[in-house]
Amino acid sequence: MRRKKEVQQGTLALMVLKTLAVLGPQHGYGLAKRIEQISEDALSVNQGTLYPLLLRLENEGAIASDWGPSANNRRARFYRLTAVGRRQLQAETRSWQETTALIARFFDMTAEDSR
Amino acid sequence: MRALRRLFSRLYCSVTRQRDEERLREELEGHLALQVAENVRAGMSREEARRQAVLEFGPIEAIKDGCRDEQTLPLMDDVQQDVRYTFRQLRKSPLFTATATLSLALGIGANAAVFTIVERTLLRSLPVRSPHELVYVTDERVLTQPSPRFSYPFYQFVRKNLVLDGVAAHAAVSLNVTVNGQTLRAAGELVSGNYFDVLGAKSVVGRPLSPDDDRISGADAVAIVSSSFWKRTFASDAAVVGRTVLVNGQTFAIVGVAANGFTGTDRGVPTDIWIPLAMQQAVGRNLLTDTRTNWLEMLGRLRAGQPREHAAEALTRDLQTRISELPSPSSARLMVLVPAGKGSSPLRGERQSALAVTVALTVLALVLACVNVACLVAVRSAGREREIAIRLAIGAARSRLERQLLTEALVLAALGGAAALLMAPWTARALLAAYSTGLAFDLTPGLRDLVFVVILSVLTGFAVAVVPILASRRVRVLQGSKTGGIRGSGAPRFATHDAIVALQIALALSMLISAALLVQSVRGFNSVDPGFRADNLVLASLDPASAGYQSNRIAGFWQTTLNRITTIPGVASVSLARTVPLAPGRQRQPWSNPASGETTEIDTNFVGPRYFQTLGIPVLSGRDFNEDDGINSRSVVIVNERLAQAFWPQQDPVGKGIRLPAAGNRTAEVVGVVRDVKYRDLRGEAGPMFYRAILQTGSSDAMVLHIRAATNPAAIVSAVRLAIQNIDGNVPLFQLTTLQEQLNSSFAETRHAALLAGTFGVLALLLSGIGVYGVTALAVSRRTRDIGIRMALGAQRRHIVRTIGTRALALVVAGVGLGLLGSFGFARVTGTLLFGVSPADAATFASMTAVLTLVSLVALSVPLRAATRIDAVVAIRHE
Repeated sequence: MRRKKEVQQGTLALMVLKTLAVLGPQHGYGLAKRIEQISEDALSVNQGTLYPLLLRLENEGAIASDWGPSANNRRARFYRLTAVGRRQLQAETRSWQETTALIARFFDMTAEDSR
Repeated sequence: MRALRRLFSRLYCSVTRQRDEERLREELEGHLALQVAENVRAGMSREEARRQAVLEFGPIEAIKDGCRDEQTLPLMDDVQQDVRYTFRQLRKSPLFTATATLSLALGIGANAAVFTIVERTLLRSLPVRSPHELVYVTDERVLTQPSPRFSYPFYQFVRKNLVLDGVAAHAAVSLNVTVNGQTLRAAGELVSGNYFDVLGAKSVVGRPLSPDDDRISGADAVAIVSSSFWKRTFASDAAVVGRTVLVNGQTFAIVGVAANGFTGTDRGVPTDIWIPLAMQQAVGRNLLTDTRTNWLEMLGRLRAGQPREHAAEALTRDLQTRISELPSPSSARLMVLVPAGKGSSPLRGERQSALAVTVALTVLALVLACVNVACLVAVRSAGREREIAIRLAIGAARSRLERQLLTEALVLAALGGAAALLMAPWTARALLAAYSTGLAFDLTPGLRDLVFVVILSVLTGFAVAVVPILASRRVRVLQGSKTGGIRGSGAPRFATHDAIVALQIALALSMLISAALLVQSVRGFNSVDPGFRADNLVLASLDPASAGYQSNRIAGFWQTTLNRITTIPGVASVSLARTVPLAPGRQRQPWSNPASGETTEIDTNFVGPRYFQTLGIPVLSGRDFNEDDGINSRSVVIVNERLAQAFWPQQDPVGKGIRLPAAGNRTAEVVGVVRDVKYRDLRGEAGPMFYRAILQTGSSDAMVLHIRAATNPAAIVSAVRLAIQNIDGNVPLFQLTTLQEQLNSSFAETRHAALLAGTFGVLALLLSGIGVYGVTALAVSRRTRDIGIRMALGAQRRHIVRTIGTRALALVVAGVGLGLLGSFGFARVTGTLLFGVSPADAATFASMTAVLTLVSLVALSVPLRAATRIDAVVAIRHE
């Protein structure tokens, strides 16, 4: 149970970092919407789960946050990527790509290969 | 790295309790508002829009909790909460808290005290350079006797060896040190000039002794004092260097103060003052040229990395090749090196077995304390089954509950440990006092003592926690919340706290039986007839030689002293002797048996006129010593019955001649036979014994005055002191005590063990009573409804009593049975301390079992009586 959730959380963190890297500072609602959009609603994650994750990333120093004006004249918390976060994103992207490449090789494996 | 940053950030928030609830609220509200607005734009009604937004967002409180956890350390918060909760619970039941804390404090405290002594005598290294390289240099005699000694010429011979990195010699000697006109008795040590070099001991003020101080006999009257002597006598005055003191009447200059904590190598006998061996003549007959008297102990330092066995072989070879250098013809000796890094201590060797018994007893005491507390906790927490069940039902994690129970046990153990730490200096001192008189250790608690108590407390906490945790695992959510449910009258299931109560009874019985056996042993020791009368007898040691008396004047000094003290009102009789019965230190001399011709070492005491009259030892034949047995009269000896039988079987020894030991062909006449006296030990039989007349031997040794008071010994002490002051103020009186104290200290270990076992026995008795009461009361309260129904249906009281009582009684019987078995095991531990009572004494076993059973029955009867008074109607409606 727990292990599965953690994997999800790690993936979600990567999505958050990448979104911030591409789109620049975002508030929590904006981030949630972008992630939903890009994943084309294939991801069934409650929007709320984003917030503990954001706090964690902030505690780790990967992102920083400030108050700013939002669309409906309210204050919203805007998150941006820090230098630490940028490095983390690069490192995790690389390791993710390596993992997928590896897994892909296994999927491509046919009976002839093992002869 | 990232994890570390996160941890610090959380730790910071947790400590500052800064949680930014406001930010969280505003941010989440903002998020929802944006979603609601979008839903409205998509055509939903306002209400539907909000509902959908919240659904999409997820469980808001759980998410908030997740955010909060992210900002704090949940474990630390939980622990804080647990500790606070525990203290609240403990405050609510002060009696439970006090009993549990006292029990653990006694258990941990006793162990801490024993550890303190063990650490000081067996574990702690001397405060010197590389203590592991330090060895006692001895020979093969070490296999048969403790610390053999060597003559000064032999030391000089060994010192020139090329194997060891220096060999030093030392000998303890009692000194009269006069500072500012006041004479005090100090523990002195004669040491070779390289002593401080070889040990690597430093000085805090001035300099240590150097080889230059020890070159020419009698030339360098210098001394080093210990730092505690410096504090006591010179008030830590830094200007002490260069001051002069009188040592046995001779002027010595103080050149330094030894490093703090360095008190020589004899543990428990701290040295006050060190003087060079070259000054030996200032304190006694010249031994520096004497090749026959062995009086020095040698200490050597191994070269770095040199194995001890190799060094010993090399040293033996080295000495053999140079054997011709020895002044007198001497056979080659096999040298032995013994590790000296921890010094030597009188609590090792013979006494070590007594120490082992104490360790075993104190560990058992702690086990008992743990069981005591576990029992209390179990009985208490049994009543909490419902609370636990409810907490489980509303979603508390079992691990969280168990952590709470563990916290409770740890807090109790911590309280006990803290109390033990506070008591530690006193308990250690009391323990030491029980062991032997005159030993002094630095008992101020050190880091090791603290660490020991902390570790022991934590272990104790875990041990105590096991029971309630196991008990809580039995709780099922449904059962517990229904007031234990309605239970049938069939055999109730076995519960953890039942086992604990039985174990408690067993341990209490074992402890009570050992305590009773030990108390009877103390009584046995008290009632044994040592052969002399110990009451009203004051002992005082005097050393006229140290005040400058030569052997020709010493007999006169003793005669004057005896005459003067006899005239003191309240003094019935007075005499003197070299050794005191049952006190440490005795003298043996080689006597040859006229019957068999063999020469054997036999206990020999040197005593003054009227010795037997003063000690109340009956003279069976012949006479006591008197003033006429002086230096010019014929040598006389008195023997005891056992010796008379061995040397002159079936004859009257009075009038017979016997060759004096180590005196060529000189003989003495036996003038009396006295009754046997237990000199060494109260346990065994008295051994054969010679008494020689002190005034004719010209001995210049320190003597012990034996003064019998007519009524109260305390009343004559000051008069005795004054009388000796008047005879010669330079002769100090030391070791003032009574024969009764001496007698008592000879079985101090048994008394101490009796006290320890007695205290815990009584405590265990009370607590097992509480335990039996607790489980029975619990059984009654659980079955209140059941009992009510039965009574409503016409059950008789005795049936009710029988159902509940049988089970409780089974517990008591099981406990007693186990306890009787355990007692035999206990007796094995305390066996060496027992005296005058069999380890399996039937009367003791029976009476203690009766006491425990009685207490248990009383404890049982209270809740049972309550059970019979249950009102059927009230009981059925019970909850």
